Amino acid sequence: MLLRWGAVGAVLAACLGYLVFSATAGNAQYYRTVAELKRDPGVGEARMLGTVQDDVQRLDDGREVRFSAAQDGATIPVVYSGQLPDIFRPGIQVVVEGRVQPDGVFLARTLLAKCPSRFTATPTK
Amino acid sequence: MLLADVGSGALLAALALSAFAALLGFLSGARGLVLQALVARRALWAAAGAVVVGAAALEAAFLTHDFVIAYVAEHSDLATPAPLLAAGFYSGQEGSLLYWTLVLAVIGGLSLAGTSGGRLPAYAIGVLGSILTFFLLVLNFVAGPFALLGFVPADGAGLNPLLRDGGMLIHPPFLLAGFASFAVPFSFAMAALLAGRADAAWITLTRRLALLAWGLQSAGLTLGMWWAYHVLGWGGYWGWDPVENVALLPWLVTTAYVHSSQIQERRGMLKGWNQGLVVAAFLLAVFGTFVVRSGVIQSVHSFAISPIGPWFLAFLAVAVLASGLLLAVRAPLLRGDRSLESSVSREGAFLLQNLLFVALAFAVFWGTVLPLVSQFIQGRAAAVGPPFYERVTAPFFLALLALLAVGPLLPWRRAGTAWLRTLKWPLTAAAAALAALLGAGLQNPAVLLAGPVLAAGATTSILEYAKGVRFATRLPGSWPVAAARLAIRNRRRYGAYLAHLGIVVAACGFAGSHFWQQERQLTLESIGSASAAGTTTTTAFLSLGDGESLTAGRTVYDSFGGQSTTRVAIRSSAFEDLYIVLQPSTGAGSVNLTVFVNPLVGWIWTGAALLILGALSGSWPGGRRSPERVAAPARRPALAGSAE
Repeated sequence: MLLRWGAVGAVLAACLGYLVFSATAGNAQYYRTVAELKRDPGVGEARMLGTVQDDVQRLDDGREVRFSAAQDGATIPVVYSGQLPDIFRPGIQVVVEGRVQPDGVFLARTLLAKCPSRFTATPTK
Repeated sequence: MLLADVGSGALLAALALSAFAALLGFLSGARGLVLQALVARRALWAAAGAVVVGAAALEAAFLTHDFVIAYVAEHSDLATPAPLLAAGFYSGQEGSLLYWTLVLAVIGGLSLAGTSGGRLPAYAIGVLGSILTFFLLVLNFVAGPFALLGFVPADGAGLNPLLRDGGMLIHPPFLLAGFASFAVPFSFAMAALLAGRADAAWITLTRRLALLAWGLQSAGLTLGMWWAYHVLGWGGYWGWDPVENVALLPWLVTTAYVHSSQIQERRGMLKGWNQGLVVAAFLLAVFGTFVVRSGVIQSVHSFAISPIGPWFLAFLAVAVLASGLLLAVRAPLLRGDRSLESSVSREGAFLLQNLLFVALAFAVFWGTVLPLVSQFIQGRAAAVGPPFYERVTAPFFLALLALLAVGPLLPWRRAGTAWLRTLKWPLTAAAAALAALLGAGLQNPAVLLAGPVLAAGATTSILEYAKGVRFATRLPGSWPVAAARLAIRNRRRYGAYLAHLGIVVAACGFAGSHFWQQERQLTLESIGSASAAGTTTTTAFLSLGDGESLTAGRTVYDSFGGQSTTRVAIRSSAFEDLYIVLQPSTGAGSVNLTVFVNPLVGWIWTGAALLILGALSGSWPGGRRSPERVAAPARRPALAGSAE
């Protein structure tokens, strides 16, 4: 009986292992810094964290947005079209997923905004 | 000044009392001291009382705008309406830790009320007191909610606009209470190991406490999805973000436990496994708190990155070591009374269910910690998004739903061939569902698999109620009364089937909104907006073709750096939600709307309500299953007795 359940467990573990392995390989995206992407855009998709700069432009009736994302002194132009998070505005941090186009613009497929840290502002004196 | 003094004094007193209770609890457990154990219990109750006083002081500070307390000034202002002032309590780091501690102290204290002065309760006081002491150390010396500003600001900073919503009054309290309450079954499991008791007596209490924690966490997760759906305005409810995942992990493991604990109660098997699940649920809850609070994994929800991260990591390490060591040392004691007679039995179904849930938990855990693992191995962080989770978890969820349709029909110990006949109803329902889906022209293989499995699961759950009613009609007196009495007497059994039914209903909702969500963009010309103190609100009144109208809005707050919140227009019906979001203004006098049609989303909330109701009735004290009955032979008339 123990042997049989050991076998069931092993089969399940193998299924899980296969699914996890293949899905990880197919979906994992590396966090890359802005400086890295500028140096070597790479070929695959990348995930990048950056701070939205003041140059936000909304095009196509607001459906497309262009801005520069900065991290540690390096900046890269980003273009994204789709649903923007409520808290999107210059100064917030965003995580974008996508790839760098030949013209050096990061074409974002998804854009996630990090919620404001602490959920608070500073008290006024 | 006064409230801050009362609060910090109370927390200091609570620290001293809980440390004393922990030491005395361990001592009386080790030496078998009865009187001292009672003193330790009172000390723990006194500590709980002091925590309540501290929490009341903070709440009073919020209600009276005592802005000299930094935490109050940072999380509220004079304009905050009273109900949301109350929510300011747990809207930040320090306050939410105090709330965690409050729940732990109160539920832990109450759980000890029914215990007598044995060694097991004494050890439970020791473990509970130790956890409480850790939290109070952090509250007193690292993240104090009563820290004072050097001046009294004229007004506070106010609550973040995103949190100014009725959902804030219920979602965080339930989720935090769920997280905190996993500590209570953990304490009893540890105490049973320390006392060397692995019999059925302790598991009845532990199971009820675990079910309570599970119910709270279910409510917290559901309310979190509800809040995300109604307030954030992105059309969805679950994003597989690390912060969401770590809330799901203890829930998955405890779902396994509430099933496998029944095997231990009835058959005296799987003792070590069950202990391991209870321990794992608590460790995952602490891990979740650590992840959420330390910022170690990048998440869309970034909470305060604060000095408490290392403290939680140290606490987690101690808890892992202590519980692992204890489980290893007590392994001989945890050997089962019997071994499995046949794999095709209720025990076998529970075992398979457990393996599937643990596999699911592992997959979610892996995806969550992948950035850390890849950083460690490859030197650079990789992350996975929703496609990973959907691909990995879908087969396991489907297998679990199939098991939900078959498992409850299996008899305990050994299934002959008679049970196969009971499969005819779920199989008929599955075939009918398949025919209906094919008839409707659907070809997505995932839908053609999920539909029949869900129909079979619903049929099995409803069948159990039908059996109960049929049995009740044979009892003397009017059958509705008899049926109600039967349901109340066997509330664990019928609560469980209600929870199953809730799972099936919610799964229909998840599947419907996943497979058939539609999205369109619209542009409206000419809009107006209204400004009030510090805010600008744009509102769109939408007349739908059928004469009904909806209002969608967006408010921009001048403070909080121009952050805006949406007011999503939702029209819910039984089968779909019309969900309209006003996009940020482009300033050109026109406005963009995103329109979603979300099928069956309402079923998620209905299903979750059934699930929580089922869990509540199952954890209600009393009922059919007392330890004496556990010892009774498992053979009993098919309809009349079988209590599970």
